[in-house]
Amino acid sequence: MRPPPNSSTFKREFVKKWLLALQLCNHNNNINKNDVVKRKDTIKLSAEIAMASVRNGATCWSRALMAKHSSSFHVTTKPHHMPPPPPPRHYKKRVRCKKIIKRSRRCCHNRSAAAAVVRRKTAVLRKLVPGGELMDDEASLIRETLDYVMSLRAQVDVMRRLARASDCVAMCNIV
Amino acid sequence: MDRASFLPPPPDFHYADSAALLDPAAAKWHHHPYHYHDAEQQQQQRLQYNFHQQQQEVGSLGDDYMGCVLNGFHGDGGDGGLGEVVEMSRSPSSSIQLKPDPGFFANGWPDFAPVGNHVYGISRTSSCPPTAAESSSPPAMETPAAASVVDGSKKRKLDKPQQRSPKENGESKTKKVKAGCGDGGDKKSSVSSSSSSSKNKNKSVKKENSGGDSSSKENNSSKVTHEVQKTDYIHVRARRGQATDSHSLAERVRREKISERMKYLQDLVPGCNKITGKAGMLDEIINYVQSLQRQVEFLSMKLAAVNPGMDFNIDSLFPKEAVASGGNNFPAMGMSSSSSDMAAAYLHLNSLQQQLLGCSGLDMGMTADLGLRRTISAPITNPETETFIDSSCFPLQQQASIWDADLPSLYQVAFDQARAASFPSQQFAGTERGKKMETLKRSSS
Repeated sequence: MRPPPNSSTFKREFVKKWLLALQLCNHNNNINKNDVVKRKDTIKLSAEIAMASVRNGATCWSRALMAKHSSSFHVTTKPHHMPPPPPPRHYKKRVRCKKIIKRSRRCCHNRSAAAAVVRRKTAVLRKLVPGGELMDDEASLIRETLDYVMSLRAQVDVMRRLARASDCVAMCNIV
Repeated sequence: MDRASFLPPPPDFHYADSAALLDPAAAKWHHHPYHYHDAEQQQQQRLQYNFHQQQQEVGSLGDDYMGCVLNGFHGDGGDGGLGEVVEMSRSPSSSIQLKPDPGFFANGWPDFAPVGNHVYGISRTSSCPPTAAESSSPPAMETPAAASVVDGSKKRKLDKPQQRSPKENGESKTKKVKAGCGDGGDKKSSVSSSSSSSKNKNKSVKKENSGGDSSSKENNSSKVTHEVQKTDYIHVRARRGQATDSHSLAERVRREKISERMKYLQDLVPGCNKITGKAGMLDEIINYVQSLQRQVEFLSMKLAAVNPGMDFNIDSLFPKEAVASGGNNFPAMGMSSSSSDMAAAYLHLNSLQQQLLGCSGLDMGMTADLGLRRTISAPITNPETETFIDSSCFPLQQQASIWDADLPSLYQVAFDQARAASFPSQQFAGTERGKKMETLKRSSS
């Protein structure tokens, strides 16, 4: 897995790509400017795609995010920086391994309740992190979570600053 | 092992013949130098004596004692070994049947002459049920016990694999691993749970473990002296009192990896320093991820609602050339220009107004910031994020470990972020944008 970029680098890249994504979104869908919800969705979608593309498909979650949004977001200009998705045989192997693991988990009923709790929480985490379902072992899941958390934090930071700036502007205008 | 060879021996039974009878492949035993004749007879007498006493118990002995001692044999047809001993002991001509045993012992340990040990061993084996508990007691005591009854079968099983192709080493070595007693139950549970996940990891585990060969040998040879003969199979460093099965070892490796990564997550997620345990940590992580996602949702809504008359037509005001040039220029423009530009675009301000905005924004920034903080209370945990960054930067600084070569950069990232983000709560000056605003202000004034 490619190491996560520097925070400021990440933010810069993120902003760049976010703008690109926004432009593309606007070109593709004519947004009703009065529909806040739709606008919000557009913003969120473009932000997610930007965040995922900054990681350039080096992580599982970024690939999963891009795959998820590729249907709703018709990428007219092919993002050349995005690497191809993993070959299907990996998924087949994963599915097979998942079956084996599920079977073995069913068998070990003698595990304590604590382990069951942990397993439940891991399942919840898997749903939260994009692409979490694809990962079989906890170690990679935790690694993906780490990376995802870093990216989310940077994204939140950028958006917050932007919101603050716009608020400042708004308040300036009022005053 | 050929069970058909367990025919009742002729009356004029001789040791060497019995050895050939029982295991033609192991007929080489009598080739081994041993001078046990005197001791043998004593042993035989004691054996007979003891055996008569414990004849009925040997059956259970086989099951219980060998069950706990022959831990690693279960998967490897250890039943065959069990069966052998049991059958041997259950035959009518009991006294004679045990004769081969001295051969077993003597071959195993030339120094195993003292009969006291042997007797001790036999008498220990009689008390089967406590043996399971005693198995965890000092291993030195066990070795003669293990040796006395079990050893023969073990040896026989060893000889066979040794004659088999060496390619079986990979499979059989893990099974033959040894008198890691007291972990039968543990091993089984770990096998059932990790059988699949360790399949992929077995190879890596074996590779890892082959490195710790000699030291693990030393460890185990102190436990069971006859292990010297099967050093080929010991490739795993087993912690004392822990299962030495490959499955459990792979499981342990996996667990260690996971706990290591949980530690990193602990540094990343705020407020996790005091929480120990996987469940609590996972809880916190889940909460944090959920809160971050909610923040994104809220902020995107906020940005969408900034100005109803907002124009998304950024092309006009944020030329693509700037984006395309990327590289050096863009970072200079960076966050400040983009964010302020977007805001300006929304309100159709020109560049001059941007500067005004800059200087006024700086003054307004503080009040606006505070105002923002007051309004945006619950969803955006603003002060919390600032504080956690502060608190987290210190343990991060101390962490020097490497995590797939990601971590140094990761920690640097977080540390930089901490340094950068620790200021905006007080003033804009610390941030990039603040600096740009200041330069704008200075240029305008």
